[in-house]
Amino acid sequence: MSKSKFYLRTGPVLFEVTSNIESVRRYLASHYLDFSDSPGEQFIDYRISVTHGPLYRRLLSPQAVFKVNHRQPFKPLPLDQAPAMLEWGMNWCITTSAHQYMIIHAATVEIDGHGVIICAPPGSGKSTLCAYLASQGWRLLSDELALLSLSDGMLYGLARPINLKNSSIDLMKAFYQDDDFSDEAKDTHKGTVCLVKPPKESVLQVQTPVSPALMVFVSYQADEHCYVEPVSKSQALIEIIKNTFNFAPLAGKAFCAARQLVQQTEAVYVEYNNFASCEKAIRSCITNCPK
Amino acid sequence: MLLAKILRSPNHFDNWSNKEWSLLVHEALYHQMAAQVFHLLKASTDVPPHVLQALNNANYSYLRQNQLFEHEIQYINDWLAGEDISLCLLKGGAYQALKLERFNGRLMADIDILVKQSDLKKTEQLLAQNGYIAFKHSDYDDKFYRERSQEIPPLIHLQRKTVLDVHFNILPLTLKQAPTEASLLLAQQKLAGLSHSFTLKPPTMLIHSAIHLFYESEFDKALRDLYDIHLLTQEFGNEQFWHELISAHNAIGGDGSLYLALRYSQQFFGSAVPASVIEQLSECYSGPRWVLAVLDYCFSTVTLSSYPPDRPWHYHLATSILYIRGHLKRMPLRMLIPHLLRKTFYNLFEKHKDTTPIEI
Repeated sequence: MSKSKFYLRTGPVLFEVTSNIESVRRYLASHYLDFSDSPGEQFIDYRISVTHGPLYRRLLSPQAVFKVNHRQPFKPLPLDQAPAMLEWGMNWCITTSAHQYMIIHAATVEIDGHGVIICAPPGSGKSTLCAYLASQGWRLLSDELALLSLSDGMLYGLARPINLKNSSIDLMKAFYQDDDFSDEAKDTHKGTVCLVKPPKESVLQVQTPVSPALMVFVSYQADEHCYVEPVSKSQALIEIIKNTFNFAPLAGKAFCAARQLVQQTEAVYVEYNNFASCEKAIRSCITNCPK
Repeated sequence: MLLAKILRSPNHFDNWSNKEWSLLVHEALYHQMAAQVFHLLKASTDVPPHVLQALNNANYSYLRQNQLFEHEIQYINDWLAGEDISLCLLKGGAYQALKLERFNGRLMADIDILVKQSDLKKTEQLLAQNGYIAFKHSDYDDKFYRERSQEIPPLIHLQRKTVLDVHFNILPLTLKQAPTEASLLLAQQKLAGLSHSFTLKPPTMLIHSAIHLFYESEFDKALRDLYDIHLLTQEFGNEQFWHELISAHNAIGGDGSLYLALRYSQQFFGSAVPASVIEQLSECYSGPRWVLAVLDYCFSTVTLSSYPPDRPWHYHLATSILYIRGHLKRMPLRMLIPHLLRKTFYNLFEKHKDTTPIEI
């Protein structure tokens, strides 16, 4: 099968993706709006490829190999994880080099011009809540990487597919169309993974940055309907620093940006088991925020 | 290759479109020289801001490395100072410690230090007490390094993961012409702020870098290493330097490495090497002319056509010739054949040893 090249723009970043894997091409065609087969006059930020492993591995437990700029940073994965591997690889590219941003491991959404950063340890329902909010008309910036510009303090979006895991996949079926969901990749290092198409409006508005207004630290608790408490500035600062991918390379710059972020935003801790109540709680926090 | 052109003349990018700029950045990233290109271009107002941004992003790794390097070298200096052992920083570490601006942005994979053979045992003990241990090697490797090469197996710091190469000579012990360590240790300059640390003097520094490069058998970093040679000639190349270079070369009893280094640095980067120096050194190069022609082909291929999309179909021919050449320079055939067989056998079972599992 021949290799083909695609050029994907996701917010500030242009990827050149080379792949000879059918499922990757299908995934790109269905889940990305802004892609073409020529970069035109644009600057290519990352050259990546997801391809079949060596010939014998195509017959015996087939694999997908990820490369960035002709080097292979990770071990190959089973072939059915190829689209997910592409997404993880793109995240890896951004987090290891886009140092014009402070990159926080958090989801970012926008409502009425207010940027909301949703931060939580893996498995606490960050992506799920983000997917729910996006389905309710909130603008999706990113489900995984909050890009806080070091030059203007604004949040920049990527509007890429949302990475859902395990039971979240079924939970979100009620809020999205069937063809919004990619094929499921089973037995990944994160369990079963499925990628949900971002809302079209979010993709069309991806180039518009937003000012951060609120930080939400969430935890999904099966027996807690909805509980909200404020988070102190110092606690919020520690959480943000802990969740910043490029804190070490940015050194002092990241600390200043994190402090600035904490000073200009409100921070709350939310436990929930009901999406609608959680959304309502976050909305009411925003009305208290200075614009 | 655009990268080599920019390294040779940093202002030659007339009317480049994003296509050329993307290619330059990707070539530089592939060769791990993007931070160096950043320092070459940062003052130019004609470079588009998004290109400088991409290069600057690579510079963050350099700044971080620099910070870690400064700390690490202070630690090592102080540990060895306790036993009054002196160390000599080699290659990248030396350029960094001397704060030579031309080398700004140069990354290093490890820190290379040279100690006297008589201090080696004590040095190893002190390093081990402070967290430096040997990693990934077999008993065979250990024996091979100590008896047949010029350094001990690489050490890694348990917590900080810094890699340290401890040399006890500059050439493998298998060679008849391995210079006595004293001749190199004599020619040193002291480093400010570090009581027991030195670097080689400029002429010996260049000779050492040349020997190191042309005794290699793998040339993944040939472009960066030859560019180092070019930068050294730019940094130090006055009349006195060239004079001292020739005398030091004769005193050490150097072979053709220095000749090849200056020949290619001149060919690829346009280094200003006096014709008389090249002429005198070419006399030390004893091989027949056809061998030189083969080497010219091999080194220009692995240096200027190493970016994977540029590689010609015969690229592996060039790397294979250099692989065998490098090994033959280090050991005679009767040792080389069993050594290579052994390595091939082990490599079969260690395919992906350098890649890490996915984390994000």
